[in-house]
Amino acid sequence: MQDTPAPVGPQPPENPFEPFAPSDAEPWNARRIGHLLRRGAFGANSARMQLARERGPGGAVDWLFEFDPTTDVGGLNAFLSQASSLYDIRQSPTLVAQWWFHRMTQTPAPLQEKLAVMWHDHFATSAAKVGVPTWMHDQVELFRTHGLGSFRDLLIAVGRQPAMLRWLDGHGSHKSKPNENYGREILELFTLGVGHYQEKDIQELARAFTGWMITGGAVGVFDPARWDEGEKAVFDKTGPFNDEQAVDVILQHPQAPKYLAWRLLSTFVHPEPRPEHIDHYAARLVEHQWNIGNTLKEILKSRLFFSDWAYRSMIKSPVELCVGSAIAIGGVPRAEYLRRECAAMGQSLLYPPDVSGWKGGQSWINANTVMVRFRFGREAAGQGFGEFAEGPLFADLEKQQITTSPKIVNYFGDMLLDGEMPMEARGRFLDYMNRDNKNQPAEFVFNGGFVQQKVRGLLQLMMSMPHYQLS
Amino acid sequence: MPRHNDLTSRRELLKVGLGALPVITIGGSVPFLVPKMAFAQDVPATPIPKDNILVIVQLSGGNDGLNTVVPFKHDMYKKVRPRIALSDRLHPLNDEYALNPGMTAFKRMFDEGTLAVIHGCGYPQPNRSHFESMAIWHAAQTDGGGGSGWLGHYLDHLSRGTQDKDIANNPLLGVNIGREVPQALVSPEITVPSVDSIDDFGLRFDEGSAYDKELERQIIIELNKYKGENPAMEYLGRQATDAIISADEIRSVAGKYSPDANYPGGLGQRLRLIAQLICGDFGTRVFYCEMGGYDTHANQVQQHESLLNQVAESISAFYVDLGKKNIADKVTVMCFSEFGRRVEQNANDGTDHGAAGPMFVCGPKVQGGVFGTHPSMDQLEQGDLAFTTDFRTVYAAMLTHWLNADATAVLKAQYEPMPLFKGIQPAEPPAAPAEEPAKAEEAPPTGDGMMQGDGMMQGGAKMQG
Repeated sequence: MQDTPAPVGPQPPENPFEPFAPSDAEPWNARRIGHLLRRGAFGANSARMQLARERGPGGAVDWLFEFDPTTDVGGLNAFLSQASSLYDIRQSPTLVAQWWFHRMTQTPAPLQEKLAVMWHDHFATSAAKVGVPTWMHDQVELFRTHGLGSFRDLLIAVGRQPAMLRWLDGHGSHKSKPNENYGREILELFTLGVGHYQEKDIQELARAFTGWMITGGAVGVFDPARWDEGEKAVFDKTGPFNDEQAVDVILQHPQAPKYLAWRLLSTFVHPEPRPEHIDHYAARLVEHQWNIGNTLKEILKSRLFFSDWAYRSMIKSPVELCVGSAIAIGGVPRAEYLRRECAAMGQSLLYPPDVSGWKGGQSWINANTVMVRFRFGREAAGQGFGEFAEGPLFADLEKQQITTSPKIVNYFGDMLLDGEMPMEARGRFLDYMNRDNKNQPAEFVFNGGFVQQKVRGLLQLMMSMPHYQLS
Repeated sequence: MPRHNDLTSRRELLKVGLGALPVITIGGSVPFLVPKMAFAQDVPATPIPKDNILVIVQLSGGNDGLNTVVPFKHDMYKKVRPRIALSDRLHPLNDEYALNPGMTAFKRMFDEGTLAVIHGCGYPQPNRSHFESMAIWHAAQTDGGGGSGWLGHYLDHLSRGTQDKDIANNPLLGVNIGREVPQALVSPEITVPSVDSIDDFGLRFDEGSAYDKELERQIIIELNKYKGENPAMEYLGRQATDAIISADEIRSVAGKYSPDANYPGGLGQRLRLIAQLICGDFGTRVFYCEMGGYDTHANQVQQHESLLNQVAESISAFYVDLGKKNIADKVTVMCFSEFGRRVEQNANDGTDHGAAGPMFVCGPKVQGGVFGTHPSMDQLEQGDLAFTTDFRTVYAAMLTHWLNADATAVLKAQYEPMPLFKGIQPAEPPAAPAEEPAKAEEAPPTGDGMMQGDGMMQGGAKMQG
């Protein structure tokens, strides 16, 4: 792909699947805490770092999973019903997206939202075609309730909701003329990937998925009279499959667990997982009877996850960048601001570009989006988040007696950059802090508006480092 | 690969930086900013200048064509639109059709002979979904294409089909004004930048800390020079450094612009930015901008008039500005919307999604007048106007007669270009349409103009006004 040899980065570790255990050589420090919080929770803030430090790697991973998706996590849905004038999700997909951003920054269970974003990318349903905002919301809700459960259950449920029935034309598909769109994409994009099936399999599957209609409820309705009850031959299996049985047939394909393992590893660990990693976690998925959460927990606890190979190996998606920054800065940012910034960076939530979702990786970055990312740094560190001016950050600094320039640089360096920045950069930051408003060297004194200017400036500088764009 | 000059090596550098991605980086180390006239004379004489510019103005939401180009004498028009039919302050184009009262400036351009009004633009089996119909207009394919668009294909042909490195290497051949690139400008080979505002296109600093600006700027540039901790970081640092430098170049060149007209509203600001970029002489051939608000389901009359007023006034200001700078001749503007609206008004004094609608093309080189046949008001298809002009005959005119491109290759099918430019002769009128059994069965014979118009689809259009 590249004409010049890329710099040789770190390689995967020895014993990659064993649980990571801190040692003198690999301590439980800001670097690894930051890595876990970014990948599993969008990003770090002071409280989260404290918690992770105390609990250790295993305990911190467990913390990510400590929520019950069948309940109203954090009372957020209750909040939504009260704040209906603020986030009227019946009005437009934009408001559904705004609500989602609100949740991502305010939830006590960030992994739930992180998974929901992954599934949104995986199932890549766009409001542009689905139209009805509540259908989009229902699909995201499904990702929240089922996102860490059984992939089989998720796959069956997602296919029966109006959003998907509309998106891939399952609605109204009749035995006399089965629509092949869903049959095709469930194999190509949701379970196997190209090259693992024949056109014939698609046609037979399409027959199994007939009979579903959108009738106004939150779930489609199955009309047996419209369903093709005949025998279908999919791969090496034959039977009068319905949608549920069809999913079971697909998931018995040996490629299916590999495809899902790839999705998990490429989302949480490294953009290009090695075949041996995929094979291992594919086997674990089968062992866990397709339970996503149990498999993911093993992944996040592994030496592979905490390895230098995985560290900063990915480019933050716009959602990761914006939500992570909001979490670090604290307060309640304006959801529409986050939504719009992400769109400008190429990730318009609820509007994936096509059925295969966002390309991700390097495609996030071009001259235009780099500028938007820098601009976001300025706005986030400056006035963009209303709460910041009087908000928690300055209070925290005072409370924790972080009032000298080295302490401030270290504090934000840990939070935003895992304490992992080149020595020259640290020197630059200190020099920046110790200059007056005429750019002359001056002792930094923690008081007054000047501090705010300097701290904001420091945040912008840190957020403008290439390091900060990486996950 | 041999290196011919700085530009080539820079281009290669960009390629390396972008891996398999198309070249996206804006700007460059100035060579492509060489005035375009410098090489225009090197090529064999062609009647179409090499630096013509097409500006697309997309009216999003489905513009109500019947209240834009008003069939003011038609009884049916008043009958089915009892509360929203327009009759006062209209700007007549001829005995039958008039422009919306808000479009005074368009009327002036029409009278000057620089505005073409094209009736009944659409495509077979109209789709009434915003998204899907827009995709059809963007792709110029009735299946919505595979995510790419007609102007993307054009830019791709332009950059790959030339020996001229200043064209092939120019990353600003197409520019979108806004934040998200429209499908029309997408192609697998080329990526078009979106520019929101020139001021925003570059590093910005908290105004409150302006005294630190220069220091912060230096530090950011420095921070992005760190090399090689890992491939992703290397890539990011290079992209960032590149972007900062080229944005500075664009800003410094575009900073020399000052407007010679008052641009109204949001569309005006976008056209002003286009004028600014045109004056920067970056060699851009296609600009794209959008104006929303046309989804007028309720209480539409005033709102619609003010939208159209903004369109006419902004485009008029754009040409005044370019005219004062003696570059108006280089620029043609084309306006379209993804569909027209239902003929009959709805219960909320608005209109629902419909089918065919008018297009506008304007500029000093445009052959002013009314083109095409207005769809029949009596013979509707599912309550909508049936198209009489395939919109791709208009695209074909833009490509063939303005951008000097191979329209058939770009549009992937042959369409007779409509004779919309001065000096272009209308194509021979097509032979009387042969029997079209399928159509004839659907629509009972009426002797009205509609079926004649139907035959015009592929055969260009005849002049009417």
